[in-house]
Amino acid sequence: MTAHTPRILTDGETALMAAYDNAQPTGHTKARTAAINALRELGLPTRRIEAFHYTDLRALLRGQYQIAERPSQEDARAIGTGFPRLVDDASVLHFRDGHYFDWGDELPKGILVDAQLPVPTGADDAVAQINTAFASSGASITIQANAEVEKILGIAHAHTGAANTIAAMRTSIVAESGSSCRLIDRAVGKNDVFYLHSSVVDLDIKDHATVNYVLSIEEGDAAQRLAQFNVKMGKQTTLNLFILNAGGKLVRQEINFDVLGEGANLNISGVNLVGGEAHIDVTSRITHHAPNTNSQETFRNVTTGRGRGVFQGQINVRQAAQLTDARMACNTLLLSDDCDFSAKPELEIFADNVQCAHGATVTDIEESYMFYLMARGISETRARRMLIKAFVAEIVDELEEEPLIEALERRIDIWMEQHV
Amino acid sequence: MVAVQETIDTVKTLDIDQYKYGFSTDIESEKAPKGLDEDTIRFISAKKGEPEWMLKWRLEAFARWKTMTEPDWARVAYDKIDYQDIYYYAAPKNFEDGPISLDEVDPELLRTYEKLGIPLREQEILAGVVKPATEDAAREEDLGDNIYKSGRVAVDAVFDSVSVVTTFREELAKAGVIFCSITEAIKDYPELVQKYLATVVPVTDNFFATLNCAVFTDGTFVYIPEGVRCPMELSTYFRINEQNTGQFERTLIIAEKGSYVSYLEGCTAPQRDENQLHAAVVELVAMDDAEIKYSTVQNWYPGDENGKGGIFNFVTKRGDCRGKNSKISWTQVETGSAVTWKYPSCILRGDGSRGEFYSIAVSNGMQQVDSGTKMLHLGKNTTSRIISKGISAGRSSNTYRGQVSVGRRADSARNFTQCDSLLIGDQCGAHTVPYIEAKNKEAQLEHEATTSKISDDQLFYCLQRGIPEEEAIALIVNGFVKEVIQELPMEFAVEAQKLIGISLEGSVG
Repeated sequence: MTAHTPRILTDGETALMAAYDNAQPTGHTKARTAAINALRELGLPTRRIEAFHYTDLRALLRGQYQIAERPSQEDARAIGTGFPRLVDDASVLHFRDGHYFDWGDELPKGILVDAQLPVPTGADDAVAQINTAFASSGASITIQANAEVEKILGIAHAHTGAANTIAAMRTSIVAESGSSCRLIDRAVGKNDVFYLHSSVVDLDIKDHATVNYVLSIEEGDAAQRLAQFNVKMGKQTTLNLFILNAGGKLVRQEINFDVLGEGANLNISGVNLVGGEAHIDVTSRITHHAPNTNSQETFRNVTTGRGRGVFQGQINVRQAAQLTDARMACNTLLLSDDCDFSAKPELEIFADNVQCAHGATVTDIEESYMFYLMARGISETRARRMLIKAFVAEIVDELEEEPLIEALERRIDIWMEQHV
Repeated sequence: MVAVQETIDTVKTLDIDQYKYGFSTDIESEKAPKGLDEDTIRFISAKKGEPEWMLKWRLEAFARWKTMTEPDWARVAYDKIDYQDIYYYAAPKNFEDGPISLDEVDPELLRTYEKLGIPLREQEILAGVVKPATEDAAREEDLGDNIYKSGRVAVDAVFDSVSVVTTFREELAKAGVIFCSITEAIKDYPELVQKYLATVVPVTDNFFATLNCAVFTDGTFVYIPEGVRCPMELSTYFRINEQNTGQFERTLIIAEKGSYVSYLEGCTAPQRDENQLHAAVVELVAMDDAEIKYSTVQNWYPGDENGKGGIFNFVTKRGDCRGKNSKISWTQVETGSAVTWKYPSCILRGDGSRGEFYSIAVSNGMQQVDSGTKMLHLGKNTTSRIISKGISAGRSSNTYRGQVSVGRRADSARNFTQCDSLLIGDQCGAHTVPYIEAKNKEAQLEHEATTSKISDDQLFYCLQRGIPEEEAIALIVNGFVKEVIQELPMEFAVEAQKLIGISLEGSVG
């Protein structure tokens, strides 16, 4: 990768540095200092850095920033009412503007939570560095060994609407061996408010554990989100990850998977809705380190308005990872004249006895389908929405949890009403 | 898995000493002093008797090159090149006094070509390559048959840096086709050269292209006038011969309105210890309804089993479909070179234009290949098709890197991309890095890539029917690359199959 040379900071970079210098965040000082110094020295990545080829943070990350203060109890509670829950029956860890609120939710049996900012590790790029430098709070979650937790644990972040603020949090989750759990991680925020939400999740899945994870990104339409989701998978583990991207002006969601244990099984699916002026980037990196592992990744993208969608998906198969089966698909609908979509599905293979494949398509809605529906008296808008819904619902329906599917589809409907 | 293990073993035993074309010819040559500065460029320009504007152009490029840095984004690793330790000009001595007849050609040189199987002499070509001309000449679509129709091949042979001899010139002249070395073109057709040179690959395009602009020594110039279907396949054989000589070829092909040309490029190089740099630039321009078919078989010395020696092949190839309904098709078979950095591309500017890229890249030993294409859809109704087959064996690394981009105004653009990789052995790597960029909603892009080994099922099927293992693997590999081989002109297809055989000798029959 091209090395940066020290240079003049952009307005965005200057604003970030000033936000740090003004607030002087405490705790984990060493890691914070290292992260902010790295940012100061290298600056934000430009498109010359391969991993940021389509998301030039130096150009895109603009604005005034200050670290969000802890909101009042009333404000913190009030914001939640504006966003109906995805599922009713869940225990929730509440975060507001990057700060943790304990409202006495009873935790499901088998789950322990320590509501402290976990020790930041591995700030390998600007997204992680910003989080390390600015994180206000977080939680360490442990799913106890062999616990089969039925009840869903929610991790909910809401931004209360203080403009020009940075809300940063970090979650560390350990699914101990033999455990199983279901998690919903959701980020919401008001429209028309400029804020930066930084989130890092470290998920460590120990041998024979199963994790079902839903990540629902519903940031406000002026918001920036820089997030990382890092997973380590042990032997015979399963991770089912679903991602919905339905908000934010600038979203960079990195998802990194280290498949370390034999027989691990990774399923990733996602729906990215890119409309208005949004720039939404999902960058995925799957590294198969161990033999006999599987990964499937499917993304459906809908791009409209002046939206800019990016999907980068790298599958890396190390030499030891014989008998890997890795598959990836990225299908995109382009609906308007001013939107665009860039995909970079990448294969990097060092083992010979493997099956790897990726496919990517970009297209508009099939006219004959439209004709079929319109010939039956369905209005053009409705026909379009039906077809888009069908295109993404295929992915959502695989979740096999009726109330959740309905809630997510509702969210998709809302997006379509605004953008299609 | 036994079969595969044996394949690996045989591939391992494949010594580079088997490199068929690893010989060198002793001919005195005249060199520019080692190193690169303005004087070197003046020397080259003077040697070639170039007009003042050309020298000025070269010097400007050189000034620009000095400010540029070598690209490092490709997945290749090699020792830093010392650009001051290379000879930038070497001409076989006895060609100094301009074109001469074949009889005067150094017999040693002719023997070299003979070893390579180049049909240099006209009579040889007539005797050897003529094929029944039964096809309906009006069937313009049927490109593969063109070789049958004409039954001849014109060769503009390049030995090191100077065009040795050009055949068939008269017949081509009758059709109005200009087929000569770029040096002659600069002298004889300056207006054409000035009009088109560096309009497809700008002088400042990239590090290696800019270097080429400054120091290119020779190359081919082809001009097909309006409405002319080139009466024969045009072919250039490149051959790197002199030790430490950078070979900087420059090719410019212009197909005027409604014309057609098929151009073949084949490369072999003698075995050498020191790395040799090759930084060629190829520019194609297709006007309205014109078609250019450019085929390459590349088999330069890949280095020994430890990766020592071998050619560095850093080539910029680009075609510009400038006119409506024009078509440019690249077909390449890459079996040689230590390091390959090559992306034959198409700029689909004209409405309805079409770009094609068919590639087979075989890597063995310590070879590193980073190759692919760019299809830039700018005009309406443009279409492109990419078929790439990578086969890696030994400790090699084989990367497909391709870009398909559809511009805002490229309504109804279509692309289909297929990249398949085959791994033989567990020490090699196969990588696929596609960039797909759509800026128009009417775009229809499809990309698919697979990586696998020779499947046990396929092998079992063959073995069960009594086909020996080696033959079975050959069969499967041939099947794997068939789609691309089919795109090559007949005799090239045969050569390509031979080369793939040599490259994977042991594993492929």
